[in-house]
This record gives sequence, C-alpha cells and structure tokens, in this order.
Amino acid sequence: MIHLHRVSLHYPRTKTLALYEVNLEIKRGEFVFLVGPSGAGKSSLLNLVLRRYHPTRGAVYVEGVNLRKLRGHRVALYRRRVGVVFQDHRLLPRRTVEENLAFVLRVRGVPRREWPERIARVLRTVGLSHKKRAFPEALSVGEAQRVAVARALIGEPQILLADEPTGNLDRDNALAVLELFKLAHAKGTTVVFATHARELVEAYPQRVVALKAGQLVADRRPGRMEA
Amino acid sequence: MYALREALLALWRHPVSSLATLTTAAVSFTLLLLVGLFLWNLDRVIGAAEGELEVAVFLKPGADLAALQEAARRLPGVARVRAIPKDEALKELTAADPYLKGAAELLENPLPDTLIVTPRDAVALPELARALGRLPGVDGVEYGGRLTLELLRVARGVRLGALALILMLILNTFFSVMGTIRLSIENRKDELEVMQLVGASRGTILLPFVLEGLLLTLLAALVALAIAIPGYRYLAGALARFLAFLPTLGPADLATAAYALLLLAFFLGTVGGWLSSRAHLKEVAG
Ligand SMILES: Nc1ncnc2c1ncn2[C@@H]1O[C@H](COP(=O)(O)OP(=O)(O)OP(=O)(O)O)[C@@H](O)[C@H]1O
Ligand SMILES: [Mg+2]
Repeated sequence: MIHLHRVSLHYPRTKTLALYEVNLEIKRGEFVFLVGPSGAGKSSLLNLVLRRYHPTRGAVYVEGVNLRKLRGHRVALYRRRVGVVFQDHRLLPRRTVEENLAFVLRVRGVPRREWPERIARVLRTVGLSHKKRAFPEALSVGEAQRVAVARALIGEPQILLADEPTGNLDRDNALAVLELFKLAHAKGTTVVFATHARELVEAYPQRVVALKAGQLVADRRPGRMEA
Repeated sequence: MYALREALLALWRHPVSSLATLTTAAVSFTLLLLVGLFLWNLDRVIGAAEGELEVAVFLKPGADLAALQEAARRLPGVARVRAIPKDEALKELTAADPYLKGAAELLENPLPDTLIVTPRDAVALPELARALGRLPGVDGVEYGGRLTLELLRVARGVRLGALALILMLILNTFFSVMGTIRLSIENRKDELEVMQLVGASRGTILLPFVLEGLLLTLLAALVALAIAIPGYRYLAGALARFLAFLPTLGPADLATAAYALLLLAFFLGTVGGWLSSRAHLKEVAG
C-alpha cells in the first residue's frame, strides 16, 4: 500500500539530512509503530506520505502511484483518503471543535445531514462530547490532541498517519487513544503510528520500525525475534 | 453558504484593511460614475455637433454633377455625398422663402449645382474641404462651424484625459482589492496549509477569498451610487438653469450607468479576489 523506495529527504533551509536511503514497504491493513529518538526523522517520513514534502531522492508510492506525479485536484483527492494527526495537533484556530470536524466532512463531500451523527459519535469515542462548542485555544493540550485524533478518524480514511498522538496524554488516556487506532485497524485501516511511548508498543504487539538519525535501523514484526 | 460566512468573517478579521479598501473603492467608484456621466454627456453634445458639420461644394457651370459626386465619394474620409442639382436647390430655396418665388420665375436660375459632403471625422473637415476644392470642375467650397470645430478639438482632449482618469481609478480599485485579499491570505497561512493537508480542493479554499473581494467592491459600488446619483442630479439641475442645452441624460440613462457600475464592481471584485488568492496561496508541495 505504502512503499518508500530509497528515500532521502534534505531540508535545504537547515541543511539537515532528515532521512537517508530509507526503504520501507507497508501492506494494506498493516499497523506499524514508528519509533526512534527525537530528530530521528519520524515526522519527516509521515510528511512524505502525506505529500507535504517531496523526497529529495527516491520516491514514495501509494498503491503503486508515485506521489510526486500527482497533480492538481488529484492531490486533494489523495489526501482525502488519508487521516492525519499532527504532532502539534494543528486544529483550525478560529473554528470550534465541532466545526473542525465538520470541515473534514465537508471536504470529503459527506452529505450534511450525516454530520451531526458522525460528529457526535467520534466525539463520544474520544470522550469530548461536552467540548463540541469550544474553540481550540480553550482546550487543554491533551484535549486538543484528542480532537485532532477525532478529526483524523471522522473521515474514515484508508490510511491513518499519527505523529505522537499520545505525546501529551497520561498513561490511561494514551492507552484509550491507542484503542481508537486499534479499532480503526480492526476495520482494515492501514495505520502508521509514530511514538516514543514504550508502553504503547508493548500494549499492542505489532510491527515496529525504528529510525535513527534518518536511517531505518530496525524492522520487527510481532511474534518474531529482532531482525 | 460556508464560503459566504468565511468571507464575512475574513472582512471582520482585518477591519482596517477592509475599511481602507472599501473607502478607496467607494471614492474611486463615485469619481468614476461622475466622470463617466460627464463624459457621456460630452459625447452626446459632440455627436450632435458633429452631425451638423458638412462641406458644400459649388460646381462650375457645365460640370458633370454625377461624375463629381462619384469623385468626391472616392476621396478618403468621406462618409456621404449628396448631390443637389441647381433646379432642386432653387426649389428648396423658394419653398423656404415664398417671396423669392416670383423673382425666380423672372430670372434664369442663378444657383450652381451643389454637392453636400459629410466627413467621416468632423475634425478632418478643413482638409477635406481643401481636397474637394482641388477637384476639376469645382468652383468653390464652403463650410461653417469653425467655432464648433475648435470646441470639438478641445472636447476630444478632455475626453482622452477623462478616459485616462477612469482607467487609473479602475486600476487603483483593482490593486487595492488584491492587496486586501493578499493580507487575508497571509493572515491565515497556517490554516490554509492544514486545509490543504486534510484534502480541501483549491476551489473550496479560494472561493471565500473571491467572495471577500466581491463583497468589498459591491458594497463600495452601492455607497458610490448612493453618493453619485443624487450628486449628479443636483449638479445637472443647477447647470440646466444656466445652460439650457445641458445635460442630456435622462433617468433611464442613469439606471444604465448604475448597472454598468455594478457590473464593473462585480468584475473587479471577483477577478481581483481570484487573481490575488491564486497568486498568494502556497501550494503544499505543489
Ligand atoms: N521543516 C523543517 N525544516 C528544516 N528542518 C527540519 C524540518 N523538520 C524537521 N527538520 C529537521 O529534520 C530532522 C528530523 O526531524 P523530524 O521532525 O522528522 O524528527 P522526529 O523523529 O519527528 O523527532 P521528534 O520525535 O522530536 O518529533 C531534525 O534534525 C529536524 O531538525
Ligand atoms: Mg516528530
């Protein structure tokens, strides 16, 4: 489903080589933890799959399509199949929680009459039904992060990219959020989940890909010993 | 609906810039309307004056009227040539003045055959008259309205100046709208990036900005109409007391001018908004 072929990413502004010669193949319906120390390149990799950047060298394919070749409206169509939780949540600041979620539905052409039901459902799952009229600045960091998760889930995407979606949550809340991703995974969604939290990786034995200084250093599958 | 709400919110978010553009556009439109109406009046007056300008060409006795009419028609800058044989000229004359009728019956017709030549461009009248005078068989030429000609020349200069002013006013409004939209986009850079990353199409993202431009110019046009139309009426009324022949525009013409302004506002707002937002929206990894 997602295929990174000898991908390098160089940020010209800071002259950092964020990723170097990364090869990675993720199958449809797979759940992958992306781990590694700060600055290893986890966010960079996710941003490449979202087509926020193009790789400096190599190519990213999704279902066989080179993302660099996508043009115009097809970029938007591609991104509608992807749900994303940004590391810094990035909710739209001038919209309420409810409107942030509605925006995704509008973009995906979901009929308006389905919105209230879907928004209510996803807010229930992240436990924030009482905050639906709040603006992002009035949310705690953890709450904002849960809304960001809700926004990624509400469009029922084929691919979920999560960049430390539990980074600011306590253990119980983190495990609760992981449950949401497990649920999506169970429904067949392909999930790439970047995290520092060892307990999450232990709580859900799945494939673990480790990055270090921009290079892929380990790729472990459940039930097998370290590669 | 969504786009309209976004556009209204956007105007509200940078009130100083919105107000500045609104004022600029309203002032421009007001001037535009007044200058435009003045120009339209001027054009009518010019048109009426031009229609009266023609050259009378008197032929030598025995010259071939039909042949000369053909020759005159072929000269550059000629719109129409009317031939008046001397008998007909006499008839016209005696019809106009019955006292001459008796005299005409006594004498041989003293009038020459005549051509009445209307120029395509009134200002070229003197040159045309000279060219006509050089045709063989022509005894003399005559044209009136030297003062009218001078006025025409001045009016054309004024007209050119007014057109340049109109153009500048339009450009001023246009760039002012583009500036506001640009600010609107810059204000929301992060937001626009996120919108793109969750899959919003360009159209969804740009439409509110186009509407923002449209709202600005339409509002300005309405303000301008509220000022300029009564203003024009007052001025015209005052002038009519001194110069009976001015002005010539009626209520229907004013309505046409109002529609034209609204159309212009629509065009400037949408195109300005569209061009500006298109230019300043950063594509994420375009
Ligand atoms: N937009 C950017 N412009 C320039 N350099 C960047 C940019 N984003 C990241 N980098 C650099 O690229 C490297 C990899 O960063 P990245 O954000 O991918 O790491 P990460 O694994 O997500 O780290 P963390 O766990 O702290 O989020 C770092 O050295 C970082 O400084
Ligand atoms: Mg990161």
